[in-house]
Amino acid sequence: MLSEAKKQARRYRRIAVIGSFTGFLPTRAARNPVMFVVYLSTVLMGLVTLLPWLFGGMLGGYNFDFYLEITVILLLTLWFANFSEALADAQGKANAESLKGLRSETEARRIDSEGAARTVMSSELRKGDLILLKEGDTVPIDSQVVEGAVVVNESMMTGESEPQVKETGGDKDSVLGGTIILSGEAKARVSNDPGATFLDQMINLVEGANRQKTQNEIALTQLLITLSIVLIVVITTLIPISGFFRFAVDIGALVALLICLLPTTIGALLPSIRIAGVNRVVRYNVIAKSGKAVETAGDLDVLLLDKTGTITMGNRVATRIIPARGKDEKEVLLTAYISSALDTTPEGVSTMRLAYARGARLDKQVISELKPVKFTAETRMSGSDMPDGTSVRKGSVEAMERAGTSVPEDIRRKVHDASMEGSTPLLLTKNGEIEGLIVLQDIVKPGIDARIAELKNMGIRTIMVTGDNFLTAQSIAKKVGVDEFRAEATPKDKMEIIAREQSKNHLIAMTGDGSNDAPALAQADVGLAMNSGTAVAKDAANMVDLDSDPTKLIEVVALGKQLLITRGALTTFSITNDVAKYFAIIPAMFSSLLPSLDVLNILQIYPAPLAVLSTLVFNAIIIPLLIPVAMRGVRFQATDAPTLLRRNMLLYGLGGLLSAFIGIKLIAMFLGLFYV
Amino acid sequence: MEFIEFAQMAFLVVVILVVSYYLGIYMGRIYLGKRSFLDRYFGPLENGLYRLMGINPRHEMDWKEYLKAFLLTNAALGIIAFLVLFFQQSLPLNPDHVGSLPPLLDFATAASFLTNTNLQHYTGELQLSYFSQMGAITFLMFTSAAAGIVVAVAMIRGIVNQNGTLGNFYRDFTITITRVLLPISIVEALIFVYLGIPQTYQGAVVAHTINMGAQTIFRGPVASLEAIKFLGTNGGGFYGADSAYPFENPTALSAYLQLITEASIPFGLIFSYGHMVRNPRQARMLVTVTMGLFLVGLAIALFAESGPNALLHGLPINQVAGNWAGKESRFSVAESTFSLILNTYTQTGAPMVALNQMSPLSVASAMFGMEVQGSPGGAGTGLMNLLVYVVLAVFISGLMVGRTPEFLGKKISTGVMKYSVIFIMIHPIIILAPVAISVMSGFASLSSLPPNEAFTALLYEFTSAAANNGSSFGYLLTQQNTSFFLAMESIVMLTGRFAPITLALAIAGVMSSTKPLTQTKSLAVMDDPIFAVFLFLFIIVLSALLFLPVLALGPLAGYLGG
Repeated sequence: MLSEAKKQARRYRRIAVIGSFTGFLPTRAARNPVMFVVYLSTVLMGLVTLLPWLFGGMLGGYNFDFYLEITVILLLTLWFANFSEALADAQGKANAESLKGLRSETEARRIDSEGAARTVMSSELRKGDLILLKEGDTVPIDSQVVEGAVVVNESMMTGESEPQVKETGGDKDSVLGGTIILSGEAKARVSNDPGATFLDQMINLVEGANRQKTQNEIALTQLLITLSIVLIVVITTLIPISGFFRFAVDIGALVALLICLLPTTIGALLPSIRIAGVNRVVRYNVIAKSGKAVETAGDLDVLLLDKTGTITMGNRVATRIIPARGKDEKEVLLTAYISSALDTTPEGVSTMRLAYARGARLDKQVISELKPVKFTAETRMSGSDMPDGTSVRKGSVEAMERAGTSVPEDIRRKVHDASMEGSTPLLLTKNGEIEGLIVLQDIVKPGIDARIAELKNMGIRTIMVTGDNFLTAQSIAKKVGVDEFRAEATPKDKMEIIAREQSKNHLIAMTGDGSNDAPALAQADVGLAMNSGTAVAKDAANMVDLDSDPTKLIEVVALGKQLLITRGALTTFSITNDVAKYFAIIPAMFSSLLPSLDVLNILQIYPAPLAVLSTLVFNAIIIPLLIPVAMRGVRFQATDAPTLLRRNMLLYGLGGLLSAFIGIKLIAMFLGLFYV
Repeated sequence: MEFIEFAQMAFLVVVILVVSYYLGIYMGRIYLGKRSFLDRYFGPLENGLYRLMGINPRHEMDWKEYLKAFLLTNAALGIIAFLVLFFQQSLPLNPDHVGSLPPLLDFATAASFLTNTNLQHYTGELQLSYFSQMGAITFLMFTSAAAGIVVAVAMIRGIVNQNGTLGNFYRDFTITITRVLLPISIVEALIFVYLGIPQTYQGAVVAHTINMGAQTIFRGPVASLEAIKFLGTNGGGFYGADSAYPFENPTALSAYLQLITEASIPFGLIFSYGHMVRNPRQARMLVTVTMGLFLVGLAIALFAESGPNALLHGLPINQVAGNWAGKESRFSVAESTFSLILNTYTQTGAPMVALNQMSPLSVASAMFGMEVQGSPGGAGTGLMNLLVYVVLAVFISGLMVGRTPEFLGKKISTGVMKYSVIFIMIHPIIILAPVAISVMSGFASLSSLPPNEAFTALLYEFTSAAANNGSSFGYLLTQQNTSFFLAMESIVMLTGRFAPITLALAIAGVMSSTKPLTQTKSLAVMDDPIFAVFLFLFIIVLSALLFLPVLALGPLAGYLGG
């Protein structure tokens, strides 16, 4: 396995090396305007070096060694630029390969024309196939119930923690791929082809088939092109101007100055920054449908977070069992145990565990005689019937009242208190008489409050949506520090929040997976669909998380910002580099004409050609040195914008200035050893 | 530098800031259409004018309409001025019976004043009639200032508006003249008359001096020109010697008044901007940046001028008090230097010094102001340049904080970016290309000067023309090359004026149709002091990148001694 991976890595490196040479084709070179100027300059220098007679008397002096050295360094500069792009490309290809292995598959029971169920992989299912759904199954694919009824846990998909009843007829007949059948059995018709085609589309994107430049990149390219044009004017006008001083400026030094001043660093790395940006997102197991989606993620200022799955674990856990007034605690714990002994839902298991931990014990014999009562849509309660006919039930206050149980005031108050703290209270009854209260709690994901604080720091507002009642929602919202929450929310509410925020000119993101989330996913500026979700949802979203972890939304924001910061930082680096390069080349270029300009030669590099070559070498090798930064992205800290700006100005602005001064000097000292 | 000199400059800076603040707020209010006490006096006049011209002042123009109105108006004004100059011999108010000018000089002069440049290749008192001084020169001083201001206002509207409109050009243009330029100029002209500046239709008089000589004393409607010359950052003098002539600048009070006047609209418009976009904090930051750039330029020049003049080295001259060459003994070295830097940084171009006798380092600093053009720059055009710098700085700094860059909440689209980068590109090209052409054509062979000084003069000339500044070394034109330079400079002045303005209106148009995003405080970079630092450094580095080689060959080498 390891050797396989190694072999693959070697293969991609080879692809990168080959790619770096194909970049020398004129048609390929012309795609990157800044580097194309370097390309043309290299051709010019090559001609000057090898065929000086072509230029007749236009050359001031001729120095074969010096010109050859410049030509070679220019070729290296071009090769480095090509290599960085090819490397990012190869990495993308590797990612695409690994993506292909990520198609989530489950087993399904397909009913053939004879009516017999056969086990097949979900990817083999096609629209219109009939499948059999049984208790405990994961629904393989979006489908519509055509016969029977099932209770489905959709919490992982829709955030709805209440089990849902799905049956033929009416509008509650569609089951979502990835949801779990809690009880019942049904036949269903597949309503969508598997998401494989969708995944293929993603793979194409990652492989670089249709990578488009984003608005930001286009704007930056415009800036770089203009800068290049102006610098060409600045440099070429120096030829007649030095003629005014009866001085022939050296063509080699002039070309070198132009190349050094051109924003070659950012120009060379721009394509790989873009490709690496998309690749980085893929490494988080998130697939972006376009580079634009990644950039937009960096601009978000409102996140719509589903409570279930994003902020809380998703399953509620029993944390307390409170006896009703006058009831023996031991007895109540035992009753709780009985109510959940055969309940396989997370709520049931946790109730049983809690009761056991508090000392309730039940004979295996007794357990085997219990008759489980499943949660159904009608009764909305679950529990067990004991062999002596005693019925033990647990359910919400509303369900109990509907079943005729009267709820005394003290219990009602406890129920209210539990709701206030964000918990879900269940009433525990024996033969319709209240025994006590089981308090279920949403377990907040560890560290989520810190993440939300981080977002707040970055200036991003969070809105929590949940199907829970107001009190529960309010308590959790307060606990984790979200800015706003919407209780008893339906998918329609999400849509409404998105529309509201957008009308206030905010950029908003949401996660979703259900088909009913699709409109909101499409409407949101960034819609992150879960891979476990329906194909409709994935189609509507502009990003898909292969791990189906809604918390990723927060990471996606950071990745988007990182992409932009990398571009900005390297642009600044490129420009401040230029200042140092001026100080190295200008005194060298005019040293024989204006010796007084040696004051500017703060690096003290002599003789003049050495200064020119050192600067040119620095200009070339800074590209491969920065490839890791371009590929990895600039480190992003979740702080406010001014702090970030201050930090990046120091790091890449001042850093660019100093590193160029020091780098050029070091190279000059090294080259000086060989320079005669 | 003595304490008194420091105090003189500190006083000027403080007064400039105070005056421009109040003027800026006032201007902001009138462009927002707020009522003012002048409504009673000028309202009927303006309405009459609108009716006369058949204009609906409430019609909101998009950027193309605005640009069309702008260009048409300017074309008409240019033609009128040209005709006035061309026929001056046969027009009235010519008591000294001056003849006509060569047509190319008429054209260059019209272009020069139309573009707020005021490069003068004529001697006013000898070659222009009073009618020309009033009908062509002073007239264009008002309109060119108003036109520049109006562009800045349109840009501000582009930032504020969301419906694609920039206001009504004709209304903006009219009220700029009636509410800002005319009232202030009238009051100031009267003060100038009181201080001794001539204002008469009578011709020159001949005075008999005590040593029995005869001296012709030229006079005319000077005071009325003088006020708008500074208020509108024009800078072209009535007399050939401009502000170095006592009749244009008779006393210390007039000198101070002129300096304060020329800085008040460039700085004031930044305050107007803050007022109109409802972000006074932003305005204070931009004023700090521009004032910072100005003070850096001033410090460099003061450093150079406080030392001895290298050309006088070896002569029996005591230079302990600094470089007094080219300066009036009525003013201190600091005051004179302040005048040079303020005149180049505001694109007024009427310094009360002789440029060719200043230290080359001061000249470099002055040129830097004309290369930046936005520190604070000319009336209106300064803010226009500054806002383009802000767009570019916001773009890069926005990327550096990981958001699609926003200008006060409006995303910087590729359209805005495209126009902004072309805008920045124009200035260096229209300086460097003509310089290169001049030296290649051989018209710039100034054999009488050392090459370095000649090159500095040449570079200065085109920098001044491109920046629409108007100050000049003055000895470039010879018998052989007059036509070449007049034609070349006219092209540079017109391009340097109308190309950036066209792009600026296009930027305003795109911005005006962009919906702003609501920003949470911690996301807005533009309001943080660190952005001011970034902008300050960005402007310096960008200008250095484009102009360092020529500055090194010209004034820097001159300063360092070749």
